[in-house]
Amino acid sequence: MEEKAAENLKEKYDDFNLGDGDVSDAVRRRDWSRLRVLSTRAGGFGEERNSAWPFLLHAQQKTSGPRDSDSDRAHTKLRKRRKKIASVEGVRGGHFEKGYERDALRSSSAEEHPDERQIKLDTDRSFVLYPNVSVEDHRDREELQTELNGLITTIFRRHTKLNYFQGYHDVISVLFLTLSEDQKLPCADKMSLHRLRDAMGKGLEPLIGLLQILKYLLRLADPEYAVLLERNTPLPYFALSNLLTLFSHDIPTLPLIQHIFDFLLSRPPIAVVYLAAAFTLARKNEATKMEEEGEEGMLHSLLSNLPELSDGDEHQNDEELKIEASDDGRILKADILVEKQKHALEDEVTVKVEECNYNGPGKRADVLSENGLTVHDTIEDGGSESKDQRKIVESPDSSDLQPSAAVPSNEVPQEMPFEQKLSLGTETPPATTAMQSTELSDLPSSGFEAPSESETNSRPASSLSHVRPPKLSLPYLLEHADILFALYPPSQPSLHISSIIGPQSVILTWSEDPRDMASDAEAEAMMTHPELVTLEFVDLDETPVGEDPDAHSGRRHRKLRKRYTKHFGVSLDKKTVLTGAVVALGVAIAVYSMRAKGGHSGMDITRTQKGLRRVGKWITAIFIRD
Amino acid sequence: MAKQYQFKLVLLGESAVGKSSLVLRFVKDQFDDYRESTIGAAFLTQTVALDDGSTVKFEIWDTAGQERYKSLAPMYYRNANCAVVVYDITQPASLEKARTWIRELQRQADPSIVIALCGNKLDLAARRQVTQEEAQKYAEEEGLMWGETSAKSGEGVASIFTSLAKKLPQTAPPPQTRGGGAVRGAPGARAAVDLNSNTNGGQDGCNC
Repeated sequence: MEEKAAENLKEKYDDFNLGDGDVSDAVRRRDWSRLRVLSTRAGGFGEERNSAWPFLLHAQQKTSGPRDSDSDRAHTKLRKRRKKIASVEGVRGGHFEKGYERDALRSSSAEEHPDERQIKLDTDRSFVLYPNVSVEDHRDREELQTELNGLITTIFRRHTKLNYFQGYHDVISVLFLTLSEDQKLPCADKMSLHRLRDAMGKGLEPLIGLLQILKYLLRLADPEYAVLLERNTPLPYFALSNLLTLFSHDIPTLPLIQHIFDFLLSRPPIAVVYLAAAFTLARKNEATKMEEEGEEGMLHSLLSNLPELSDGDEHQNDEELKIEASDDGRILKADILVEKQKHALEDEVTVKVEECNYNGPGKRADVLSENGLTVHDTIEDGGSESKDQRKIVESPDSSDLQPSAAVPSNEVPQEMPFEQKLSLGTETPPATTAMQSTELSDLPSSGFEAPSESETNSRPASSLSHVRPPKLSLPYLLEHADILFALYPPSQPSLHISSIIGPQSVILTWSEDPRDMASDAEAEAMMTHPELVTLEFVDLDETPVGEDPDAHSGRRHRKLRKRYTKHFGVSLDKKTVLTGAVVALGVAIAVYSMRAKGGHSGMDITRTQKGLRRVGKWITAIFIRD
Repeated sequence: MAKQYQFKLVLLGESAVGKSSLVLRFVKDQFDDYRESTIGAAFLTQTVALDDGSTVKFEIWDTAGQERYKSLAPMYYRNANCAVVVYDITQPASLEKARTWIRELQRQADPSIVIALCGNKLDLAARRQVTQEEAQKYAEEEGLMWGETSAKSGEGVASIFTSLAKKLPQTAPPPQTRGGGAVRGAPGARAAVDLNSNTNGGQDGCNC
């Protein structure tokens, strides 16, 4: 009954978006490049996430597969019992009493996972920023928390080798709030095993590896800025939670993080590093200003708290952008990027972007009008709220949460004048909010983590009288990330990816083609070889920025080989040491050989990934058989 | 001209004992019933005025509690002048964790570091599992400052930081006093801060 209603609701929304079938069309055609293009437009996949994400996560046909039999059945059974209880007790469908949830989980056959206490601690403080419908109603939130806890617990009991990390709950909560009931578990499962797996070992090494790659990427993209950043922090630790949680811990609204997931899920796992770089580069002016003010730590505050984002097209109203109105918004924006950030990339950017097969001219206008249409059909709640009230895509059977259609690029009028003034093309105003805070006892949002940001974001327009950093356009940042990928693909030697990333990292094992990926069981088994996820990398910090790191490569490789052997000698037997050495060589060959192929086609993500994955698969075969 | 001091403070402790809430109370005098877990670390500052007219500015690194982030902690306590190690008075295991942190600080941090042991969640005293005597005795043995707080009610929060502020100038290396302006760019350089520029502006300037 309830499910039927939800289905009707979904159909209704589908009807509203007749012109927006591109995504499902691309999914049907398994067209990854098209999906990548669609993921960067304003609003991303919109309401079509429920078909797009399961496809992108390779979770599509999983609901009744024979593989999941036991635990899936247990989960379903559990949910059914909950629902029954819930309806008896008059609790709104899909939710259940906390105590009952615990008891039910305990009585299920699966054994408790050692991390369940930590999971509980974190799910008990989840859904802080969204969905907004629950902010005033603690009971609603607790129900959501309990259900999220059930979902996460199911995954960890099913895959006992996975370890929980704080922030994992943020990632899963995005899936939880986006996908329909039957998709949540299979998608969260695949996400964990094939995208988040590196972070689910015991240590932080894989994350440190990503931070190192980010550091090198920033050096390439903007050497001058990189010097500033490295003067303040040896690694870009401010991006730690971005990389670890795929931005889900840091983005204050659901529509924005959903859009970021659209982008990331349609790209290989390494894409998150490029996006983190785009975010970091976009704040150069603020960061420079802040450093001049001489506050150690404030830079961390600035950069670890993401800028205010918009997901719309308001920047197209910007005077500066109008001057050069071109058919292709991307090239235009790339130019502005170059100008504004004084990148050393100027010519290259334009050339490369032309090569990128992005969506054609006029697309943005279409999107805008589509969304304009959709606005009227959106279920409103708490109508007078601020810009972040863009409606959330709710899964059909959590309709009790006031589900609503996504209206991704619906900009709130009251913000417009301010935002126009301070949109991307304008000079970045001084980051005074943060600096004031250092002297007044009253620290503003920028000194805090996300909750305060949401506070800021949910503030009415009147509070905008404070000088604030400009709001950045998310589509712009996403495209910037793609540009960076085109300019500095993973094969780029200066990124040192082949020396940092091990063959069993998701960076190497992930594939667009599910047949080329490790099975779930193989993926889980990889947890037992952390030394194959992240190599023991000798950081070449002695190489000054700007100097060609390749000049040292001979020395580095000798050093690396030495450390590598030593490391392996400690924990593994001789046979494995030998295999490991071969593996390292194989990865290097695969990564570097892509450079030649990808030379004039930097955006060829698929090809790049293929090379990486081939090696990964080969390695997997060796080690799983061991 | 009154003296102005600037100290680096690091918060350590097990997950969910209330480190971030304690800082939020101290810095903004606020409390959220729901506060997200900290990932990596967060940085905040707060200035305390002392009775003798001097002011102490804390640069606070609020760290993540989960064990897996432990390897990042040295980065934050390395040059810290003081540390607040937090436990939850309703969770005996969290005091054990606090002891571990304190041992690590005593071994690895700057020898002059001033450590305060802080029993949080005093508002839940009805569910208390760690007695004051036990914690206080341990603190005395180790030469730590000790106090109990409730980030929720605010009880004890200001006093623990103020006590630190009072103790610090005597024990820490010569504090930075006020300079002429911002120091530019030099690695590791920290600017002396003009604390007077904003003290008379009222609160509404950045109440966000």
